[in-house]
Amino acid sequence: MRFGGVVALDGLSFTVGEGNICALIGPNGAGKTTMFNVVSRLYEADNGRVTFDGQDLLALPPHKIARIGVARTFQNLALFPALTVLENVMVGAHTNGRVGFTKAMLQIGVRSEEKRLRAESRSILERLSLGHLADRPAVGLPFGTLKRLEFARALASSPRLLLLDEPANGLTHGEVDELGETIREIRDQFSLSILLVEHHMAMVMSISDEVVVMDFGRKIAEGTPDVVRNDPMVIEAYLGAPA
Amino acid sequence: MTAPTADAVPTIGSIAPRPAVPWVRIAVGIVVTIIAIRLPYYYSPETNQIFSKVLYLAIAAMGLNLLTGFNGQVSIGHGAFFGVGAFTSAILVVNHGWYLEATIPVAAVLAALLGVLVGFPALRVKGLYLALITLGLAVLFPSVVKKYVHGPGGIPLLRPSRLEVQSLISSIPDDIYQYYVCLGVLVLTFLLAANLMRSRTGRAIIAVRDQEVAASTVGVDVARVKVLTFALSAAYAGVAGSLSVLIERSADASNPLIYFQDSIEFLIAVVIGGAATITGPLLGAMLLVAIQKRTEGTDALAPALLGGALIAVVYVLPEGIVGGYRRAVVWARRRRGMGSSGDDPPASASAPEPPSSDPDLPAAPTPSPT
Ligand SMILES: Nc1ncnc2c1ncn2[C@@H]1O[C@H](COP(=O)(O)OP(=O)(O)OP(=O)(O)O)[C@@H](O)[C@H]1O
Ligand SMILES: [Mg+2]
Repeated sequence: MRFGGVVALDGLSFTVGEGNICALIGPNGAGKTTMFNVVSRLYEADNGRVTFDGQDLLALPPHKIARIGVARTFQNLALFPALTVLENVMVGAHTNGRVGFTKAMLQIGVRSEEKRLRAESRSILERLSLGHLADRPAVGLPFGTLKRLEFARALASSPRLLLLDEPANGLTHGEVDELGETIREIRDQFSLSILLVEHHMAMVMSISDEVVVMDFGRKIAEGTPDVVRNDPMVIEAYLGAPA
Repeated sequence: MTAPTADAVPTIGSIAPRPAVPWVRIAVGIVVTIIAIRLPYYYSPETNQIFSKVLYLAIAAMGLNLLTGFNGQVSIGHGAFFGVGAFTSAILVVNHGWYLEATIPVAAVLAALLGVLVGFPALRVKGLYLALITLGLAVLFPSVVKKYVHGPGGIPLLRPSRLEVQSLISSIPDDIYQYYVCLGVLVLTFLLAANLMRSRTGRAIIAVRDQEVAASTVGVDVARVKVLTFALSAAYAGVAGSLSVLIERSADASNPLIYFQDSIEFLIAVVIGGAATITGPLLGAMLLVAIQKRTEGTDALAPALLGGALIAVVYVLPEGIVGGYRRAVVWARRRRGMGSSGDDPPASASAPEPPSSDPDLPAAPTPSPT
C-alpha cells in the first residue's frame, strides 16, 4: 500500500511521505489551520487538489474523510462536553462500528459492538495515559488534558494519516518533551503518517522527518529540520519573530 | 444554592451505564411495575383517562426529547406530527372500520414521512429559526386538515363510535384496557429509545448536538443522523396522536391553535422532566398533567397558576427532575466521599469555552466582512 498526499492552498503544495512525521509551521495566521480545514472538507477550496492514497479528497463529503483514513484534532478543542472521556473516544471510533438506528433500537449486534468499541477506546486512553479519566465528563478537565483527548479521539478512527493541530498547546516544558516522544511512538505503533502543526520549535525539530514552512498561505521552505533551520527566508519570516 | 456549574453534574445527556447499586434499581423497577399495572383498579374511569393521557403525552415528549434534547434540533411544532397520527387513526377507524390498535403503526409511518419532509429543510436552519419554522407547521396543520377532513357539519373533527375504541379483552373494562394499551406502547417506545441512546448511533446523535463539525470529521454523517432523528421523533409524536384518539375518542382540529398548544405541552414535559434523559419525558408529563389538574377549575386564574407553577419548577430544577436528581446524587456522593480519596481533583474552574466559538471551526460559511 502506498500513501501519497498532495495538498494545495494559495499555491501551497507538498507531500507527506508515508510513515513520516511532517511538520507544517509558520507564523500565526499563516494558514495552517485553514489547510487542515480544507483537507477535512470543512472549507471548500476554490481550486487545487488534495489526494490521499490516490483518492481525490475534495470529491468527498466531510464524513467520508475519516472513513478513508484521515483523522484530525482541533486547535481550540471540539470535544463533546456532555459525553464522558471514554465516550468521546468511542465517537471517534464511529467508523469502526456498524449499528445504525434500526439495529440499535432492536438491540441487534449492539452488545458485542459496544464491548469492542469500549475496549478499543479504553486501550487508546491507556496508551495516552488518560485511562484514569475514562468515566469523567469531558467538560471541566484542564486544557492540556483535553488536547490529549482530542488526540485519542482522532486515533480511535484507526487513521493512516493524522493531522495534529498544536497538540502541545497548554503543556509545560516537561510535558512537551514527553508528548513528542509519545507522538513518535504512536506513529510507529499505529503505522501512521502525521502532519503536525506546532509552534513549539524544539519539539518540531526533534521529532519531524520533514518540515514545511509557510507564510501567508504560501510555502517558503521545505526540507529536513536541519535544512529548514538554516534557511534565511525561514529565519526572517518565522524563527526571527518572537515565538 | 449556587448557580449550577457545568462540571458539577456528570454527563447530562450521556446514557453511560450508571454506577448505581443494582439491587436498588431492580427493587425500584419491580415496585414501579406493580404500581403501574395495579393503578387503574384503584381509580375511577375518569381518573384512568387522565393517567392514559399522561402516558401518551410522555410518548410524544420522548419523541421531542430525542430530537430537541439529544439531537439539539428545537421543534415547537410536534403537535403537527401528533395531529397527523391522530387523524390517520381517526380516518382509518371511522371511514375504513379498522381497529384503532392496528392504526398505530400506520400513524407512526405517516408521521415519520412528514418528519423526513421537514427534516431536510431543517438541515439548513438552526436554533430559533428552526423553532419558528416548526411552529409554523403546527399552526398550519389545522387549516390543512380543514381542507381535507369533513366531519359532522364540515368541522374537522372525527369521532369514532364508542364501539370502535372499546376493550378487546372482555374481562378488562374499557378505561383500564385503554390505559394498558398506552402503557404497553409507552414501555415499548421508551425501551427502543433507551436502546438507541446506548449505542454507537445514540452517541452520534449527541455528538451532532454538541459539536457538529467534530462529529462530521470523525465520520458521522450529520445530515443523515439529523433527518433520521427527525423522522423517528415525528413517529413518536404520531404514535402518541394515534393513542390520543383511543383515549379522547376524537381527532379535533376545530381549534386552530390546538396543535400549537400540544407542541408547547410536549416541550414543557421535556424541559421539566429533564431534557436528554430517558425517564425525564415521563416524569415531566406526570408533573405537567398534575399541575394542570391542580390549577384547572379556578377559571380565569388557571393559566396564570400553571405558568407560575412552571416557572417555579424550572427555577428550582433548571435541569428538570432527572437533572436535579443526578445533581443530588453527585452531591451526596461528594459528601460521603469527602476526605477519603485524593485521586479526584476538583474539576478545573476554567471550563473550556463553548467550542463552537473556535476560530478554527467554520461554524457557518459567513462571508468575511474584511
Ligand atoms: N473562517 C474564517 N473567516 C475568515 N478568515 C479566516 C477564517 N479562518 C481563517 N481565517 C484567516 O485565514 C488566515 C489563516 O488562518 P489560520 O487559522 O489558518 O492560521 P494558522 O496558521 O492556523 O495560525 P495560528 O498559528 O494562529 O493557529 C488568517 O488570516 C485568518 O484570520
Ligand atoms: Mg491554527
